[in-house]
Amino acid sequence: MKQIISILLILIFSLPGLAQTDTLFSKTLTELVVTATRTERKLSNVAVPVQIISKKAITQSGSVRLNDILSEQTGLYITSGGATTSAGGGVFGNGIQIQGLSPDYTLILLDGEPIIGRQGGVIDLSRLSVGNIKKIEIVKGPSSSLYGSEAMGGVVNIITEQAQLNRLDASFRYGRFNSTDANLNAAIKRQKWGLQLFGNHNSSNGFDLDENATGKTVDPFKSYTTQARFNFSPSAKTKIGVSGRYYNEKQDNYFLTQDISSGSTIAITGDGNVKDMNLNPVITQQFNNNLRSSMRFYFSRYEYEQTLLKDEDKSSYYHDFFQQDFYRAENQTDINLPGKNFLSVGAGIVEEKLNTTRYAGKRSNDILYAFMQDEWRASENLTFIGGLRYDDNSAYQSRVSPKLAANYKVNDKLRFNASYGAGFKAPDFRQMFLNFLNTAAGGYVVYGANEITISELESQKQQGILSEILPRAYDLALLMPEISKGFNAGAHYDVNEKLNFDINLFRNDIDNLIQVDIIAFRSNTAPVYSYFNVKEAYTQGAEINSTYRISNKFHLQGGYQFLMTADKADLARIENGEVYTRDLETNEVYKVQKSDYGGLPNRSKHMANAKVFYDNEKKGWSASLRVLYKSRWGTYDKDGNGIINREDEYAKASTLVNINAAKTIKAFRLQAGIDNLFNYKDELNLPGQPGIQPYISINYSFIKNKNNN
Amino acid sequence: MKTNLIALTVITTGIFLTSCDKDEVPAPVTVQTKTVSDLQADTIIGIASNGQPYGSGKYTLYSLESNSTIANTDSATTKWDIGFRGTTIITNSGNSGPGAGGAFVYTGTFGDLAQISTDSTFRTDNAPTAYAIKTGSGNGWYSYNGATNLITPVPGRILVIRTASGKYAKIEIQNYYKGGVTPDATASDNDKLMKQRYYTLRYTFQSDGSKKF
Repeated sequence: MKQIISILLILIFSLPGLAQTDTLFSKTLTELVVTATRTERKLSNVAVPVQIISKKAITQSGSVRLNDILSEQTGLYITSGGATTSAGGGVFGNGIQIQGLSPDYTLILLDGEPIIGRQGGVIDLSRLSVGNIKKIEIVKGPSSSLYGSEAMGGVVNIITEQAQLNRLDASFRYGRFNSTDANLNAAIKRQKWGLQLFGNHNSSNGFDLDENATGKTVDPFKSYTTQARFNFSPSAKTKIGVSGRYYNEKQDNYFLTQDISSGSTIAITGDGNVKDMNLNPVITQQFNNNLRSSMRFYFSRYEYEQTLLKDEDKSSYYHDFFQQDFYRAENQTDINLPGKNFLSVGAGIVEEKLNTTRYAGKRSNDILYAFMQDEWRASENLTFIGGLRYDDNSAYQSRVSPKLAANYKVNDKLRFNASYGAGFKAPDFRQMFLNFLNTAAGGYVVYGANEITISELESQKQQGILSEILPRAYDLALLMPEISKGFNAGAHYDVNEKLNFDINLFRNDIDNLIQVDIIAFRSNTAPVYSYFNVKEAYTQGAEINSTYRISNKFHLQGGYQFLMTADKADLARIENGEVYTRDLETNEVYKVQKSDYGGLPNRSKHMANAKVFYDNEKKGWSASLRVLYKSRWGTYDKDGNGIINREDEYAKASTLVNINAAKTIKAFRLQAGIDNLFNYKDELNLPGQPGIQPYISINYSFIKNKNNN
Repeated sequence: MKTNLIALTVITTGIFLTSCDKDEVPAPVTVQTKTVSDLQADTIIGIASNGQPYGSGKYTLYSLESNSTIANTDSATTKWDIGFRGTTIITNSGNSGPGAGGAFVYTGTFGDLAQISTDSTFRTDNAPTAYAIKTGSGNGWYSYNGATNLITPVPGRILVIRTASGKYAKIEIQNYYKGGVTPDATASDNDKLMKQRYYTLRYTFQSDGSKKF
C-alpha cells in the first residue's frame, strides 16, 4: 500500500505544467453537489470524493435502468442478479459495491430519501428507471455522520427532474429479448408552482442461457413506474414540495424442480410481484440570509409477494410475502455563523414496520437521531468540515458517527482533500427478527438474534426438537451495528483546459460484521442458524479518473480502481500457517501463502473503463464507445479452507464493449446501439448477463420555452 | 450390512528412528499408509415425508488395525477404533465405546505429522454434545458450504487417533462423495444427497505403539 501511495504521489507531482497559468475552465468548478454535505456546494469546495453522472451521460450511454449507468462508472461494481429460483443464487438483483463494500452497506437515496426494500441485503437497482433522472451523485466513503445507517461504503443519491420549463418528452426503446422501455415526461412551470409528471413502462421476455434446462435463466417481467413532483413557492422565502412515486413489477415464474418427497421432477409455475411506493412532502423556509430551515416527511412501502404452484394440479408449492413500511420526519436547519462558519443541525424520528411470512408476527423498530455539521472556511483556500450524528433505538445498540474533512486549494488547478468518517449499518430486520423454517429446502431453521435465547434452545432440546446445542449458541446476544471507519485522501488536478486528473486513496476498516452461524442441530439433523457480530474486514485501494477533451466534438474518459480486500481473521490464519489447500490436479495438500489469498469474494482487484464520446451539436450527430473491464473475481470456496485462493475459485475477467450512435432531427432523436458487442457471457457466475443486446430508440421533445407567467 | 468394497493401496515407507552411525545397522520401523475408498457412512436410503433424507442411523465401525469394517453387533467391544455416520466421527472412547481410544485434530499436512507431540492432549467422546473430533462446519475435519450444500474436507486437517487398544494412527479424509469426486455446485440436490457420506481417506497405523509415523 505504501508503495502505491508513493508511486501515485510521484505521478501527481511529475505531471507537466503544475506550477503556473490560472485560467478558469473546468466545468467541475461550478458544478453543484448536494449529497456530500446536505447543502448545495460547488464540487470544487467539497472535501469528500464525489462522482457526478449527468443526464447527458445517461442519455449518451443509452441507459434504461439505474444499474446500466452505474455499471459504467469507475470503482462501482454491480453484483449479479436476475437468476430465477431454479438457477439458484443471485436472486436478489443488481446491487452496488462502493470501495469494495457490499451492496448492504450502500445507501440509495431518491431525492434525498432512502429507497427501502432490501432482499438479502440488496436494493435491486433495476427497480429504478433512469427516464426522469436529472443527475446522480455518488459520495464515496462512510457518510453516516449525515445519513445514519447503511451509509458505510457510500451514498448514491438519485436526483429526479423538477419542472423548469413547459415541456413534453416521450421516448420508446426496443431491444433484444423483446425488451421495451417507454417513457413519458411532462412538465408545467408557472411563476409560483411547477409540476413534473413521469411514467415508465419496462418489460422483457427474459432470456435463457441454458437451452437444456426448462424455464428461463431470467423470467419474463414487466414493470411500471409513475412519479409526480409538485413544487410551490407562495413567497420568495418559502418553498413547498410534494413528490410521490409508485412502482409495480410482475415476474412470471416457470421452472422444473425435484419434488423432495417423491423424488420425481415437477413443474412449478407462478408469479412474483414487487410494489414500491413513496410520498415525500418538504417545506423550506428561508428566514433571512443567515437562517434556513426545512421539514421533510417521508413515507415508503415496499411489498414483495411470490406465489408458486405445482403446474399439474395448481396446488400450493411456495408462498412468500414481505411488506416493509418506513416513516420519517426530519428537520434540518442551516445557519451562517460569524467567523465564516456554516452550521447545519438536524433531528428526526424513524419508524419501521415489517410484516412477512418469515417472521413470527409483525415487527417494528423506532429510531431517534440528531446530527450537526460545521463547515469552517478557515481561509480562502482552506475549508474544514466536522460532523457528528447520534442514532438511538430499541432493538440494537445506539451509535455515534463522527466525520472530519478538509479541502485545500493550492491554486486554481490543484486541490487536495482528505476525510475521515465513521459509518454503520443497523442490524436489519432479518438479522433481528427472522423466524423461518424452510420446508422446501431441507427443513433448516433461521432465528434472528432477538428471536431466540439459550434457555429457549435448551427447552427445545428437552422437548426433543433439537438433538444438539453447539457452543456458539451461548454467545447469543443483542446485535451491535456493523461499523466502518474510512479514510480518504485525494487530489484533483487540471493539467490544462483539456486534461484533468482525479485521484483518491481509500482505506475502510469494517468491524462487527454480522454473520450467520450454526447454533444447534434439529433432531432431523437439519441445522439451526442465528446471527453474530463476528467478522472484521478491510478494503483499501486507489481510484483514478481522467478526462481529456480532444476537441469540442471528441472527449475521452478513463478510470481505474485498484482494490485489495481481506477478512482479517482469514488473513491471520494464513499468517499463522493454519490454512492449507489441495492442488487441483495432484490432490496434494500444501500451505497457502499470503500472496495466494484472494480477499473477499465477488470483488475484482482491477477495474477499468475507457470511453470515447463524440458530439457534433451542429449536425445533430453523437456517438459513444465504452469499454468496461474487470479482472477475475472470487466466487466461492471449493477446496474447503474457507477462503478464495485456488484458480477454480475465481470467475474469469470480463470485458464489455458498448457502442451507440444518435441523430437529432428537429424534435426527434434516434438512437441505435449495441450493448455487449462481443457477446460476453458467463452463465455460472453472471446469470444476469444475457450477451449481446442491440437496441433502437426514438425520443421526442417538445419545449415551450416561454413561461406562462 | 453389506461388506464394502475396499480398495487398498499399500504404500510402504521406511522411517529411520535413529541416525545412521557407521557401526550400527539402523532399525527401520515400517508403517503402511492405506487408502480406503467409498467407505459408506450411513448413506441416505430414503426421504421422509417432511423432506428430510435419512439413513439407517447406524455408525459404520472400522478397525484401523485390521483395516476392515466391524459389525455393529460388536459396538460394545474394543474391536473397532473409529465409527462414521454422516459427518460425525466417533472414537472408541468415553461414552461411545469401552476402548482406550481418543483423538484430536492436527493442523498440517499428512507428511508433516511424523511424530505426535508429547504434550498433545487426546480428547474423548461425550456424545451427543462433545465428540473427540468436533462436529460442525469448520470445527473438525470438514466445511459445509451453505450456498452449494456441499461438504468438503478442510485441507491440512489430520485426525490423530488413539485406537481402542491404545496405539496410534493418523487419518486424512480426502473426499466425502461417492467415487471420491465432489459433485459440481450445479448438480441437482438429489445428486448431492445420494452421493454423499462415502468417505475416501488415507491413514497410517503405527502397530508398535509408538507415536512415530
